[in-house]
Amino acid sequence: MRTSTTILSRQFTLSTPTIHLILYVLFFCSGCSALIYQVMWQRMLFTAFGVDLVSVTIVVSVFMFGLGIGGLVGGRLADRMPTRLLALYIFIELCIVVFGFFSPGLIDLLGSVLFSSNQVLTGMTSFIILAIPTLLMGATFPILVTHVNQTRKNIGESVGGLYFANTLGGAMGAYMAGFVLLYSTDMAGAIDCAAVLNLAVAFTAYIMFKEEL
Amino acid sequence: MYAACFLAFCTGFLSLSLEILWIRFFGFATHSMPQGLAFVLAVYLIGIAIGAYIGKKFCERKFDLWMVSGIALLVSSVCDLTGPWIFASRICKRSSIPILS
Repeated sequence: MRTSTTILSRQFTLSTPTIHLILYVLFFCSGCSALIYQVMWQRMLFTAFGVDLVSVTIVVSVFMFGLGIGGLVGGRLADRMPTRLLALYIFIELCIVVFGFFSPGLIDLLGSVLFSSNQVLTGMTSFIILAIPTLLMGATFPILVTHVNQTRKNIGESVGGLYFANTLGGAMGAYMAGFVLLYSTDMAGAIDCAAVLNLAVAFTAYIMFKEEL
Repeated sequence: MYAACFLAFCTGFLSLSLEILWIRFFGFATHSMPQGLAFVLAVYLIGIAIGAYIGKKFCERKFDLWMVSGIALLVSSVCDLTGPWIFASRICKRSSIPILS
């Protein structure tokens, strides 16, 4: 953020609190889509493994691994590119979209190729594949925190606000995945919904902040 | 600093282990329906969000944060010990889990 306001077009300017509110809503939607992926990928791996406990353990641990290491990498990137943070955020969201759209086919392929392999190999392969999008998801947090903190100048509030929005979005995503999407569409359809949500986040961020990119 | 990192590592390890166990509980109770996983994840995340908000309030005031952390861990350990028993004796005995049906 170069100034306290962002020029949306020649007619409109946004105040800093409004910009932060928009980023919170975008990050809420990112969290929502992340948990839709998590629930759906677990179901898909369950289909591939046939064992619920293994798929749950892999998905939960790969998400924690990705969010942790991704956060570390995202923090380094944010330090190196302090003026291109929003562009970086949009790029990462688009990468998640691409992976999301292809993930059902990829997991199906994994299941068919590793059908007769042992569980350790299948588990490790699934972990490595799912680590890619989760690393990307994890990287968005420090990038947005750094961006918000450039104007807010209070790291506690920046982290707290974004973390709160993202976590609540995650809760909403988990609820939506189990109690709404699975009743109205299949697993691939639910993943497509999450990918479209990520795409909407990237597109909205681009439209709102294109003058800054 | 190292003590805080170690505490954060231990609480993260324990909370994720418990999350897996709760997913198993709900998995048994719901015959591995995806709603069981979705419900546990949603409740965990709401709890983390509200907990982070309450934690932020403690940080803003002059509290002994080690004492607050200790009390929070004590309360959570009591919940960890009694939670599965309450779940098994009160909720699982019903024909279906009301919140998931």
